[in-house]
Amino acid sequence: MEKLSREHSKAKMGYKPILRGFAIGALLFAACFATLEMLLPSQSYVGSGRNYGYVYSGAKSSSPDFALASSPEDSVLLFGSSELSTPESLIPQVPSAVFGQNDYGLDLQFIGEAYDQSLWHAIAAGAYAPRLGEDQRKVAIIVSPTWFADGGLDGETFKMRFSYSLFREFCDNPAISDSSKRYLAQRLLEQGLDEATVAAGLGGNVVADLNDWVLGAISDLQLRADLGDVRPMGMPAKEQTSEEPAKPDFESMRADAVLDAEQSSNNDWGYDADFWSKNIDGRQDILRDTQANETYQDTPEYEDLAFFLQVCKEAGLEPMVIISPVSGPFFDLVGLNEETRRACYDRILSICENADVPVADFSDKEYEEYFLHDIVHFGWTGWLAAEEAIYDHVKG
Amino acid sequence: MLSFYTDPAFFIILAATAIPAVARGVFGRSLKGYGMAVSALFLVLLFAGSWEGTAFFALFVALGLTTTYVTLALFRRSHPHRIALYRVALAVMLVPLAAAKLSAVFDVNILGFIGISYLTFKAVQVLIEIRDGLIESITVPDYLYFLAFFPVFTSGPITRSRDFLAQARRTLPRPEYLELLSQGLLWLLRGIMYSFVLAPLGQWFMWFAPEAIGTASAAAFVLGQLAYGFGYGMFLFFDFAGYSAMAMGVGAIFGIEVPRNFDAPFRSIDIKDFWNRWHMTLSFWLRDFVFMRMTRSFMKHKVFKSRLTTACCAFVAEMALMGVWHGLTFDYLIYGLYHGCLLALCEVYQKKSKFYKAHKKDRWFKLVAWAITMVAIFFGFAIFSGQISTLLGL
Repeated sequence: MEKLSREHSKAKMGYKPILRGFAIGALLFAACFATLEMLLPSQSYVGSGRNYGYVYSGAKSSSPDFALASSPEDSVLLFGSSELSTPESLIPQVPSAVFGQNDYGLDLQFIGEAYDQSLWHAIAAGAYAPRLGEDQRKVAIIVSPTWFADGGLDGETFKMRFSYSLFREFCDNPAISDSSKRYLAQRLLEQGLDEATVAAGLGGNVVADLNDWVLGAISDLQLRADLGDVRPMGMPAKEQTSEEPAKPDFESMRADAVLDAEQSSNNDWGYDADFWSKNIDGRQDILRDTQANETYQDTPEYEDLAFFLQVCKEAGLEPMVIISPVSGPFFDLVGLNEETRRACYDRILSICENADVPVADFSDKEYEEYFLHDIVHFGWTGWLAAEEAIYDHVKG
Repeated sequence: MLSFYTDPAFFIILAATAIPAVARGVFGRSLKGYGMAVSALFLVLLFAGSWEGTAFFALFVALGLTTTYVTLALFRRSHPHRIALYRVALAVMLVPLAAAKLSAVFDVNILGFIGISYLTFKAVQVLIEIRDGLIESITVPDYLYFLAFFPVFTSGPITRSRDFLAQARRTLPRPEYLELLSQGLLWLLRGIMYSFVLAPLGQWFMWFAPEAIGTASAAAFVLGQLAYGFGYGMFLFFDFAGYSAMAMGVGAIFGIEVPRNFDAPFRSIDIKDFWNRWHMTLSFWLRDFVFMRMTRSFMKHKVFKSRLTTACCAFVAEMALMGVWHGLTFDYLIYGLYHGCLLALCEVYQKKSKFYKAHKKDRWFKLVAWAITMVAIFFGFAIFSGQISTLLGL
């Protein structure tokens, strides 16, 4: 019988050089790792007196250490997604201009980036809650119907946004119930995370704890590296004055907003000119009825939203849900009719009602010019409306 | 609970348990007892948290011990019905795997546990070699160590008991151990690079996801399919070869030279060459315990007229078995039959074609043969992954 194929040692060199090489390699690896560890500043290192509350960054959002150290004390958390990226240069009414540059006695800390939806925010809420002060209990979340697209968020996108260290802090929060942790674990597995990662966050046995140690270390290093890109951002911190903060005059800001909008917009739908010319102008026939099959009902996102509100409750936060509209004319064009959208808004509203949380419902603004500046994101008057709602929620 | 070769915890525990192993090896001490203890530890961690897995594994081991020792006794005493009873023992040993694969079709698990596919090969091999008179005795600890050796437990390479135990019983002198260790460490590093760097690269190509027919231009669609098929082949190779290399490396640390599973399969110039280079331990196991016996039996009973027909039938049968061993699914069965037919066609061609005999040593011929073989095997991978089924709308 033929011998099993074996790796006959073709190497002319003996074992000594190989073992020596392996040992040197291992030492070099350890040295590189140690150097990296020492050179990367820790997450909580913020440095200069800048305010990062309005910085749009996944790394910042995933690092409570950095986020809370880098904005004024008592900053109110605003959970959102891509609307948080709108720059002041485009919409002068964004929070960084309204709250960041004026002393209205309210500062915001943006949490989240594009594709962060209810489940991601639930993890974040559970992770941030234990570190928040008494005056930070009130939070707000901007929810958009686009989160509720059929099929839910696809696995790869979710995994890209998933932060292991944020998940771990969620699991470490003693106020979170076991059933909530179970729900999250189940959803994470459904979204494509592997069992070892989920088990590592939950902990409870030697294997999970070892995996947690490694995954936590990797996540920490990754965040520390990414935060290096965030540190140059941020705006100058407001000067501390002993004066009483002013009350914001949203009426007059609204009048200015409409003027700004009229200058930036050149079309019937009230979009900013740039977006219109790149995406809508002349393309209306191509876009027609492209989303006619969308129902906004076949998705786990509704349960995830309810879960977010449940987590806030358990963690001692008082959320307000800001329901962002989508652009009526655009969605009519692509075949996602008013009825479908209304069903989505109503379902969101009933979830909020069941959870007994305040709502800022802007679903009736779908056709109001300048409320949005593109198909889904807050525009000139939209941001003001959201800011007023947040202001009243926190101060009221 | 613990996933071998993927969980960070596995590598940490491995590093910790490797240190005493290396120390023992350096001082020329036996690694058998220590290897058994470490294997037990890893198996406990593997099955912890799963009552089902633990119970089914225990049952399998009990069956293995029973069938082995009964068969040994039958043959030692030259029992008159030993062949018939041996066949019963063999059937019994196949029951867990058959039950597991069959029940999986209905999304249920009966008797299955991680590693069952490979453990069945090992247990069956022992029985067959007892029947052949190649194994006259085996101690219980040795048998258990052969089954439970942790580096190869979950996905092979498939070791052979006599080879494994001869090595396990031997205490290696220091220079030999260090030689084995150094080669093992190189294998381990190669495996890590394959599994964690090159396999994900293969997966990257798979993101050119097969587009639904009609949504992209014909050219884009075809290119997307080709990219996906290529990526899958790359992923499959690097993932499995990487795992096998790591298993060889870890085995070496514990003093065992584990047989190779892959030897540059993408250099194969024909399909027979391929099966001498791809998942080699599986291929050789099937050859030794299925193909050879089948052909011998067919020839003896003059089932087919010619040797060639016998070989062709045996190829198809052997490979069909290989296919369904992966799982009782349509794709796996077709994959097996596909390779069986390829082997049969190759055999006929090589035995009968004058053109082949005239040119088989020519450089250009080998190049063309290589190209054809590559297309054939990647098409096979596309069957295996379900890409072909999806395309055909099955």
